[in-house]
Amino acid sequence: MSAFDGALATLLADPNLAVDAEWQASGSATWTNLRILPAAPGDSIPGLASTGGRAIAVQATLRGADLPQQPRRGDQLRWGGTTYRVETAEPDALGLSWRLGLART
Amino acid sequence: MPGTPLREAALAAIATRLQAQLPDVVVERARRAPVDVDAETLPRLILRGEDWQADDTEEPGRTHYELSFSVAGFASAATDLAAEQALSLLHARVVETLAGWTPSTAGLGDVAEQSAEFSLYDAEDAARPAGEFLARFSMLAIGPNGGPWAG
Repeated sequence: MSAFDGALATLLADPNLAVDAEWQASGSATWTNLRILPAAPGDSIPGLASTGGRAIAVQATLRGADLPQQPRRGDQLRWGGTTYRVETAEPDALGLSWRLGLART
Repeated sequence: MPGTPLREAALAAIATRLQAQLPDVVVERARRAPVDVDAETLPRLILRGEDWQADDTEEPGRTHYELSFSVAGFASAATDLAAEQALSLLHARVVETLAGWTPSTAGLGDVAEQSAEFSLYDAEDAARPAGEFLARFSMLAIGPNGGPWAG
């Protein structure tokens, strides 16, 4: 296990940072249990030369090895009683983790 | 001071018109803070006055003003497609409400539609499908030379 594997495992095991979740591939009926690092950054969105909007994004970071296949748009992730649809899936440079951009369903 | 500035009279009349014709939509004027699409009631419109151009060559002793204003619209929905459709619907309702309309306030003339931009927020920025448009209009206002007052 590399230092980065170890750091990610520590973060995912931390009860203050990570939560239990379930992931389902698009078109599949099977849910896979895993740990994720959720985040909900809120930020201003550049407006059309006007007031502009402010929105909250929902993201989750997970370990790629916890999934039977690579995540992609259309998959679903649920935790805390809410199900989200995967909109974006970005791997890190080492291929250890994925950051998912999520939409409320 | 002879009365209400023509610009303020025009913007007030436009806001009143939007509120009357679109009772299910929140209408605000001159708001500077971003609209929180997760926490605030949508659909929502923000009216802002913009440029002011004067032309004293049209009529002896009177100045024809062109008042530009914008209406920013915010909408959200359960799906990406529904959010885009909600934006299109809100924009069409705004245009229907304002374009060609003439306020009853003396000195104010027709509203003309100019242009519009649309933006559906990226998924990376917003978990809830939402977006905004910015519709631009202009309005004719006429007053005596050097007297941009309504009345």
